[in-house]
Amino acid sequence: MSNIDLLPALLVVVPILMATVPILLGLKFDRTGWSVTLLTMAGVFVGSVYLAMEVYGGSGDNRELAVIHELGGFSQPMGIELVADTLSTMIILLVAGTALGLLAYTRVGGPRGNTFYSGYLLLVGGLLGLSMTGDIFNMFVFLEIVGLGTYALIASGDGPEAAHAALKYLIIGTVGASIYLIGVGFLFMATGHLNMHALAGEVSTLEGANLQLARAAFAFIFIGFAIKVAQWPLHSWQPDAYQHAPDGVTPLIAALVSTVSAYALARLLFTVFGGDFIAQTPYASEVIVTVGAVSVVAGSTLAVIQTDVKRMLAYSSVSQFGLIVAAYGLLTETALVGALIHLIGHGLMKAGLFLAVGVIAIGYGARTVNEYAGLAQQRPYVAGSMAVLLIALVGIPPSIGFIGKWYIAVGAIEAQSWLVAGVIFLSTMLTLAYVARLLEKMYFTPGSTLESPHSPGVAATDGGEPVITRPGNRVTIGMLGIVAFIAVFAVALGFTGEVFFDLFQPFVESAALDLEVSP
Amino acid sequence: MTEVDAVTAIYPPLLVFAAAVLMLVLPRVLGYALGTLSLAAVTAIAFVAPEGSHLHLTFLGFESQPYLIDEYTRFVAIGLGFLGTFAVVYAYSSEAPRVMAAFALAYVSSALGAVFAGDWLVLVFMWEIMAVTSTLLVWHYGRDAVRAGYRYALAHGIGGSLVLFAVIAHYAQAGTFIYGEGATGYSGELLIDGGIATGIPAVLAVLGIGVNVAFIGFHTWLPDTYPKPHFAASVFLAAFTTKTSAYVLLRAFPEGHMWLAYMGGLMAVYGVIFALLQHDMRALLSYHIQAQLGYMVAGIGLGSAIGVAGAMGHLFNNVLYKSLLFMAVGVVIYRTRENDLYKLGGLWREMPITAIAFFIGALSITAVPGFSGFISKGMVFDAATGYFTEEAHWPLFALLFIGGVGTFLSFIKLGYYVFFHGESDREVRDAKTGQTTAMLSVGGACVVLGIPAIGWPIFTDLMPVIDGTALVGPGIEGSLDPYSLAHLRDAVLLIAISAVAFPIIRKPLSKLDYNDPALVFNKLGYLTGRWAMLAVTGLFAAVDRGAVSLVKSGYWIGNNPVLAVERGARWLPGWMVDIEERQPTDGGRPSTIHLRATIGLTVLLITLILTGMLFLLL
Amino acid sequence: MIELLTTRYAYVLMFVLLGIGLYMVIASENLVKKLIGVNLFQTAIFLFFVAVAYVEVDGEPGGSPIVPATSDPASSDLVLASPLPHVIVLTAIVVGIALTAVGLALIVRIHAEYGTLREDTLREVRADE
Repeated sequence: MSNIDLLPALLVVVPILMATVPILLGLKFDRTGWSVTLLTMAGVFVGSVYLAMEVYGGSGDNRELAVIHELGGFSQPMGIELVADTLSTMIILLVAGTALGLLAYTRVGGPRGNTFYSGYLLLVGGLLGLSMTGDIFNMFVFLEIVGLGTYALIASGDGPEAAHAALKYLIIGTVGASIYLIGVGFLFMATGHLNMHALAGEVSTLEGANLQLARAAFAFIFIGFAIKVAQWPLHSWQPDAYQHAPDGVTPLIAALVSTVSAYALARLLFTVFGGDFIAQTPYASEVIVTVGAVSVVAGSTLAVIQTDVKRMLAYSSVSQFGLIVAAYGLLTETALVGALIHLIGHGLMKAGLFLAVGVIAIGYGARTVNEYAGLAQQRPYVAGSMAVLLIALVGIPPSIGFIGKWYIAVGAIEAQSWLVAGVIFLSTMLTLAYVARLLEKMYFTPGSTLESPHSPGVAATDGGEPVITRPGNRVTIGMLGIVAFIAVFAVALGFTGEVFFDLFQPFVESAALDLEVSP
Repeated sequence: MTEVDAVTAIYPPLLVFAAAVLMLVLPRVLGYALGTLSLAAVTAIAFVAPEGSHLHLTFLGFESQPYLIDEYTRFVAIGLGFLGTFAVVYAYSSEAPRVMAAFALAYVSSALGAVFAGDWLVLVFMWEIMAVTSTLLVWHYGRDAVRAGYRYALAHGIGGSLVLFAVIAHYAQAGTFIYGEGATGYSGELLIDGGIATGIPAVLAVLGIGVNVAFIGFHTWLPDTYPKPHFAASVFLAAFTTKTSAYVLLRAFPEGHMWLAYMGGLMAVYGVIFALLQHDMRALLSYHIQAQLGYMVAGIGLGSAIGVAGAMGHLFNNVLYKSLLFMAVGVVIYRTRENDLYKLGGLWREMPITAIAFFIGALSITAVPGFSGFISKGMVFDAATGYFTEEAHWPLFALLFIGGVGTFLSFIKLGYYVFFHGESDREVRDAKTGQTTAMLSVGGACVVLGIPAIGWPIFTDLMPVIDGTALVGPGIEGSLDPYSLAHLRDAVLLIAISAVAFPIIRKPLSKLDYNDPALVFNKLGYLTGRWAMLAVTGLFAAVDRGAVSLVKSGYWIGNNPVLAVERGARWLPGWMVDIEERQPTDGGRPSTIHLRATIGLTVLLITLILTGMLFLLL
Repeated sequence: MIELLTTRYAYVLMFVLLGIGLYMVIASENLVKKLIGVNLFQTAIFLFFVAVAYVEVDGEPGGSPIVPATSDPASSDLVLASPLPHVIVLTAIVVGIALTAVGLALIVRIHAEYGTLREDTLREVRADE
């Protein structure tokens, strides 16, 4: 086993092990969590970049390119593998990069305390594991580790609502993961394998009762993940969770947790089951497309009527993930590439947007759409970055949001699926509607002096000068820098569609997609 | 590097865009000078650049040619570049802020990008950017313009998406984005490389482009938006979006379609009728944009060589004289701070240069012999009467003719009330030097292009389809004679009818004037002309309100079921139910949205959906 | 039907247990009971995995994978239950315990804040805020 093969395991193990350090150090020192996390994340990021250079360096088949680590030296089909292939490496980069960048916000703005950073590292470790695992049961374990980290982080919010939101997510999320586990059981009954690569060869050859089992497994696995990816109407945990989580946590959850779950769904649909299996199963592709399309419409409609900005963006996530799931169901190479690009692009844009929301909440005290009035004049930089990200979210070129939508739309045309094409059009209009509402408030409604937005921590009842009572409520250069960086990055990536296409090509080709699939 | 390479080395829209960016950082004079120079350079490049596609790219994996020169793109680009040069000069002396000028240049650059585009993908790209930049240009003025700009953005968002989908659907059929490749359903040689695939793409394209060329019903954004921003911004707006789109319409439908032709005829009539009813000067001119576009759409719709040539010629002329009119009216607004033409009068003594410029524009737009509009409008008339093609469309001709009469009337009205009609009660200065330069340069072009021996050869050399005075193209013969007896007869007839009609109309006008005609026309225009605009914007607002209130009342009923039942019961007669007045438990506080799917409900839904999916799959 | 009950009773039982667990989550307003429902639901899945592992050759049940059924481990007719599901269930139990612990901790906090464990009461309390 060469050194590079160790890297996938290290990327998972190091954050999880380091998660114990802040608590241990916390016995003696107060403020070590941030530094430990920064060190760890910097290491993880460097490692993932190194891994990416290795994976994308050569040319060849998806599995040939991949860096594979066999845990404990047990080889497949029995052992558990960690696989960094052309797709998962991209997700790893997103996770490592976003988690590292977020630290710039949490140092001053986010929840403090060592336990928070323990949860943070646990979550990152879980996400990296979920991205790389090559074993469907191991995926369940990582799914639950991610879940545990997320519940803990959401509950670290101040208000009691945070605890309730976390519990809601816990119960619904656990039910979802358990449903996925039932699917794993069925698949194991049908094939006797748990390793994805072994399953991939096995599933396409099934017949009779075993085929029925595999189809049942498909249903359970899809529904299980539909919950995790927050598809309407199974999304109800998500707006509560996003809204009540602390501002420093929401970007992490919004950008990464659902994204990695949606990635895992793609992995299961296309690596384990394969395009042929879905195409041959009656109604399978239709169900996927319908669930996605309904989510798109319902999510963006609900987003339009929200008053709380965080909640609005949460519903926007429901609709964007709907688009991704619908694109999975189209079963064309172009749509799949589009879905994967949109997956990464959406993660990036939502991270930036929720960060901007956090910065605005700290610096301007605004949380609802109406309170955003006059923001552009008071806080031009953060408002400008947010505007860029919002416009990118609509899918106006040049931006990463455009490229994803574009490929999905082309894929929908290729598959002759006018439903999806219409839904993309409708969702663009609805996205424009809620984005325009926010932009209009920010740029064209003067901030009223009578009803000035309350700063958090301002003692308003004493009648005197407002006093900032909570320490650390200041916007640092780092916060603004990371938001602006993400905005610029989202636009810059708008010129790299080709690059993404080439990077994902090996994975997409291995997905056994049939372009001639009948509509 | 050879000479040819040197000319085509620079992508012209990029040049203008660079000037737009520099405008933000350089001192005002320098910035404007650069903007003027960049547009002059674009005109020059368009003039000399050799035909062909000069920039090959692969974009998102598709073959693309963003910089195409053929006789059409050259012609349109020269017109836009020439006008743009002087529009920048005009904006400079009109005290337009630098940021506005930067938006305007970015907008011009995107319009030029759309013109130079050699494939549908680049076209759509530029089309969308054009929508964004023009919205910014409107928005920058603030006040009224913001609301109007919002409606403008909505209209162009919808139109742009339709075009986007048309292009995607075209790609699905043709397998390429390049103009003139792969599209089926076209037989024989076309006048122009282009043609969108028939069927769904064509329907989507005609609707999407229809928004931009102000088809009746899709036009409401035009008179709504163009009178609102800074008057120098109106000059830019009037020239670029609609004219570029008319050219794109030709690209998409090189063979034309009779429906298009008649839509054009109706637009000409509809535009002038509502132009006559306007009292805001720029609104009047805006309706005239629609009417003039009607002539272009009619020419494109006819699809014959003379029709296409007339449409293109009219496009070129319209860019010049419509902007000239907006410039002249802009000076009036600048000096008098008045938008309402009924509140002005006798200004020709105060501002003679502006009056001259205005009347050059007015004589051109009304197609008086000797001015540029006469030639191109005559060509469209010829196309309708079937002078060259033996295929007459008299109803269409009648529509276009009525449009011509209406144009006359409304410009007599505008000119009369602004520059004559009694003594001016205010003392104002004439146009500033820069404004004068711009107006007289553009006005000079309008005159020169209309004079047979001087401007005409230059014009026809540039013009597509026509070489010298001969029509060239696949299977077309014939030569042009703009000052033929028939043309002059038409013109005289037009002028005569208008000359007779205006006194008849003016009589009631002057009486109405006594009774404050502005109010009457305001109301009339409000009731009739703007019903469509109100319907569209009102509908949007109503749907928005309706959706929100429906959801909110749904929430309310869900939260206060008892109160909801009682409220419903109150509608019943008293003897049927006995209602006890009850207060909401929360003391009548406005209902808040807090009904959310509970854990139990979600899990129930999960179970149901899972069962449904299993049922489907197994 | 009867045959199904006699030969596959483990699966039937598992689905009944699954249903009870789900019903508790759906119908009970008490958060602790909801959590117990989730636990029951998971337990049913564990039982399902154990049942999957069960093998029968010629009516003879396979032995536990830990203690061989025959005295000679090298014998070719060694019939063992599949060990993999057992490993899975062990892991899943650990995960389940962790989740229950977090869930209970959250419930304790909710109770401390609101003084109630019922979701409907909780909703009313929050609506009044």
